[in-house]
Amino acid sequence: MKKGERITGVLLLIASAYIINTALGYGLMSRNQPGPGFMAFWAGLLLAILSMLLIANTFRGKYKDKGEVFNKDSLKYAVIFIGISLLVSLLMRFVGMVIGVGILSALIHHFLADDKSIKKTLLIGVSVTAAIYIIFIFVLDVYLLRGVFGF
Amino acid sequence: MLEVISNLIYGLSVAATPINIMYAFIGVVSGLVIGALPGLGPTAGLAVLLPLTFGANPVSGIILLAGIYYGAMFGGGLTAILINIPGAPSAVMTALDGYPMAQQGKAGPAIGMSTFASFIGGTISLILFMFLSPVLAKVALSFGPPEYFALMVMGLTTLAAMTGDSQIKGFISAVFGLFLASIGTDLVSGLPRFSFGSPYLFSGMNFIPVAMGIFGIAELLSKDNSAEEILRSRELRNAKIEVKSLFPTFRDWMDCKWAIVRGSFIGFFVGMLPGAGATIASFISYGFEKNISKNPDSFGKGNIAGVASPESANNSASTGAFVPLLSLGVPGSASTAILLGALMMFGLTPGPRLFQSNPDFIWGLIGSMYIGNFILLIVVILSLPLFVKMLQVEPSTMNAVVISFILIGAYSLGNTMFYVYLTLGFGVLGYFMKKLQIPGAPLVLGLVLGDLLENSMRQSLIMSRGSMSIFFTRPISATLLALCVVYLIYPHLKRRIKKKKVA
Repeated sequence: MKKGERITGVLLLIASAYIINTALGYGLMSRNQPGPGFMAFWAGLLLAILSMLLIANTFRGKYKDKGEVFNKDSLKYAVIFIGISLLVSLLMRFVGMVIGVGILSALIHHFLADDKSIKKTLLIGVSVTAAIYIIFIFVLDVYLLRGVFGF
Repeated sequence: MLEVISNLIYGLSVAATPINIMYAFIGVVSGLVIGALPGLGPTAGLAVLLPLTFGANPVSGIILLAGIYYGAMFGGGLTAILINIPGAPSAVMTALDGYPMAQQGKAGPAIGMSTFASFIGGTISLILFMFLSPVLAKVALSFGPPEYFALMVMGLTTLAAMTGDSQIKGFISAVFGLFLASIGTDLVSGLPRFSFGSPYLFSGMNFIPVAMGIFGIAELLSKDNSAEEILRSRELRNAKIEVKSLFPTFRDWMDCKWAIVRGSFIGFFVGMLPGAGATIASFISYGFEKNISKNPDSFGKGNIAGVASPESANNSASTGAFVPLLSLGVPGSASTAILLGALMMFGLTPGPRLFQSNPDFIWGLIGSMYIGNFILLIVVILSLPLFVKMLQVEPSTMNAVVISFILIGAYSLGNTMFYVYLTLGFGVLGYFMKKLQIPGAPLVLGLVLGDLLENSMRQSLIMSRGSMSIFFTRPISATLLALCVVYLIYPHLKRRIKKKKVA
């Protein structure tokens, strides 16, 4: 955990340096009133101070090591989940949003469920597709990205 | 008094249209399910189900969201009682006595009492809300930009300081939210800030992808098919509840009547405070009830007052949280920050003027809360066995449905895949924040309040010709800022004094 806080602190320090530098470029004050970079500058400065405090606190023993924060299984789960979501999102340009979320829900279910039966996976994919179509297109009349199937 | 009653009648007439009743029903039922599922609490529920309001008029939309909010607040208690897994942090105290009651074969009376206590708590707090909000709004009409600036700083400070284990992490989250709020074209100079050339960022960082990512996707990513999740659905399969067992006995009512009233008042006033919210309200209410009880040892072993007190408090707190949101335009929690964002999405500006400019909205919402509370009571009593069955759904199936809703919602914001990728990106950020115990609520609040904060600061400095002294020379803003300082220093001072005493 301490390691996590130190890495976070360093990353935030780098981010705050970028924010401060860019905000200074926008200008802090103009005609006696805050300029476009005023708020971002102060946010960056506060972020820098807070990240230094975060790092300092790890050396003062404020944060305890609570074992592995990112265990292998939980990280694998998160990577699969976000990976599938990202891939299907890219695919949505071709198959459309309605079919896309059907594929997404089927894949998410199949990869993460204990019971990996194809029948159940298909059932979930089809049910989600139908539900999304009925709720968003039929009832709420929301425009969703269309694919090669015309919806 | 008469004015409030006539306004309420008007509000009920606005809310009692078939379409609004349907929205309240959908909101309450969805909230119940989401609140009962461990992990997805009221905040994530609101973020995930926001897309359901697309296409709805503001009154119907906010009725749906309010229904989700208090439905989820109640739903959290169901699994706390049945299987000792609170659906939301605000239901932790309910589990202390609710679960022992279930183990003693009294799950029915525990759920029944929690339902009635929530209903009574919700109703009492609504009455207080009706009378207090307009008064507070009238006071707030005299507020100028410096007072608003101080009020928003106070909202952010208290939330950042109170959420999570570390104040520093809370403030990092809030300040990062403020930075996100500064993205977009500057209204005065027309300069695009931190937009990286993307036209989608010219109009600023939309709060919905951020909220859906930080609360919705991050929740899904950190919720694997753990043994606890599987155990939950198995245990729920074994839970047997009969409708007739839900009605508390005369003795139960006698044991709980004052606990409910006290819980309702504590909940409402604690709920109004920025950063406090339903969880703290339920903790205070439970602790208070135990302290004044003639039989404090029975708490934690299945005392029905230990169920009634936190349940009335957390439902009452959820209504109390609407007071600063609607009358001052400053939300005090993550859930109300999402509601504020939703109101802005509908083109409404919460704050004292809303009571004058949109009375149909305000009083329609209040009317719908009465109706929603009643719907909640009826739905739970009539269909609890069905709900218990719905909660048996496997986590993988639920996650598949939730991610679909999130992505559809993200796309519909601007009919562009940019928001889909942005939501996924914030989901990853939220996942790391969750793992590092950095609270997400201050970030969302910072983002939602950032624009208003910057504008009120600008207006104040124009008024004072660039002098910061304006914030400290006006009594209300000076008091509010002083309170922020006290709020920040007090815990540290208290700790030091304690250490000295021990030494």
